Amino acid sequence: MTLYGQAIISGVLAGGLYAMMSLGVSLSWGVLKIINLAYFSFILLAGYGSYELATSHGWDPFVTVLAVVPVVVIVGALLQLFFEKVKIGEFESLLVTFGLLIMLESVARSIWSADFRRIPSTANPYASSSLKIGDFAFPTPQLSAFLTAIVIGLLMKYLLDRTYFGKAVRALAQDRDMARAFGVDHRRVAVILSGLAAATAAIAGVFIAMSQALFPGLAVEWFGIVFPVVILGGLGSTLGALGAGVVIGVAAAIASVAWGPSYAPLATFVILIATLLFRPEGLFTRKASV
Amino acid sequence: MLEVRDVAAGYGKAQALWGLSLTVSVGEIVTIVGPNGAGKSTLVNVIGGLQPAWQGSIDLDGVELTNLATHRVCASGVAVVPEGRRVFPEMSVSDNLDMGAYHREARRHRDETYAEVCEIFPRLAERAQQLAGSLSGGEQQMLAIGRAMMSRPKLLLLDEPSLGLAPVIVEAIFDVIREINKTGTSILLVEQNVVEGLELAHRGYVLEEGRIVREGPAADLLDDKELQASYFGM
Repeated sequence: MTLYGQAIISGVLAGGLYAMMSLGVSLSWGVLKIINLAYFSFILLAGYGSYELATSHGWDPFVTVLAVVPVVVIVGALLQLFFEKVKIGEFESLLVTFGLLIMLESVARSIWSADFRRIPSTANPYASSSLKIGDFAFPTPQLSAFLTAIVIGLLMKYLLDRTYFGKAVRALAQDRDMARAFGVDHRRVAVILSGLAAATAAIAGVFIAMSQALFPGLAVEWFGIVFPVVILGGLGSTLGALGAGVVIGVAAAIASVAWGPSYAPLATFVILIATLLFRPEGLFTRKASV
Repeated sequence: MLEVRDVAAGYGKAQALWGLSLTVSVGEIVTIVGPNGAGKSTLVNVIGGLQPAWQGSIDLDGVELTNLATHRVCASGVAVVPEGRRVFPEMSVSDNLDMGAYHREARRHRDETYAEVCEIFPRLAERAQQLAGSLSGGEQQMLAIGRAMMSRPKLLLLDEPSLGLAPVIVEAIFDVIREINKTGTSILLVEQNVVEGLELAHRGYVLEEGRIVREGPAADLLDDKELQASYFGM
């Protein structure tokens, strides 16, 4: 029983990280109608950036956020500016950003090789530390990632629900031309939103570097987590991504314990397919009958 | 106030408007009637900045609107009530109204305008927290008009506000349009509902195949034997 209890805890904690990894794709696809696979490389490169600063420059892994996030935010905003310039369509964006992902993966490979890279334990005291409650362990990196995800989720929720910027974002997602007719500058909103999404991706990357080994192929492996979370959570839904992250995390963790780790993707994709069949708008979105 | 001069526009290679000119004066209600496919919606879209003009100019109180970026047109004083209402279905009624007050000047007067809109449409105030997509067709039309009013326009563009609504609702909507006009907002109304549309108006234009074929005081157009035969089915 302890085994399953621990699996559920790990799954829930992983869910927060999954949500942060997925937020960029979800917002970009749901609101801006761009399927931006570059977020996978942002996560990866942020991870390597954090690894590099911690390993070679002795930064505390948490502190690397301060350097990594601004760089990724700028890159994310500039990329969106480029998309606005060329007026890219939904399908083209998938092709272009897939190309970009492959390119950035090669860049990562040429700098850090295809080998596993992990911040050495001397530079990363958090990897082996954890909060213990009774028989259960809450590893520091996963726990802090989860708490960060909740804070980000609530902040994003507030931003989207309460502010004019957030209303503009939702209006753009629902009827772009009408939003523009009432004064929403699509380019401005898109660039700011992309910057925020890139920041979240970068934070996810830092937490990944803190808790596991990095290799360039990770970016593509994440497809199997991020797309289920995005679809389950509902396109463009922040708290949906958080809920879906937890569902996917727990399902994968339980499948790993029950049948072995290789069954984890099976569990996630069964959930994904069932969702697409029975609730294609996502598990956590309320839908008006139009 | 609004001066449209020699405007042409269309979609791809299909031209929908051919050198069209019209004016709307301060405080006026102008109705444009014409059959399906005459280019009425294209005209609304071009004036509202949703679609570029191929040639010609559009000018509101001396401000050139022609091919202004879409998001700048609203702040210049034009608000659109589009065909099919196009409220934001998954946003609440009050958020929809807030979107109307998005541009800076309107945002400054948001609370004041909100109270005015709620006075005209008490139904919207009752349903402020409901999702717009769950409203009835008539309520959505009220919301689309309310949203446009939130931007405090000088000119309100209405594209077929009667479409798909029961006659008594249409009457209520037209009463509201008259009321809005009395507070000093000029109105450009596009209608297939020829008789009601013209009865509401001071002046009218008849649009056919992208060209203005008749214009004049609305009462004269209503009396015109030729128009009666071809449009009003009398």
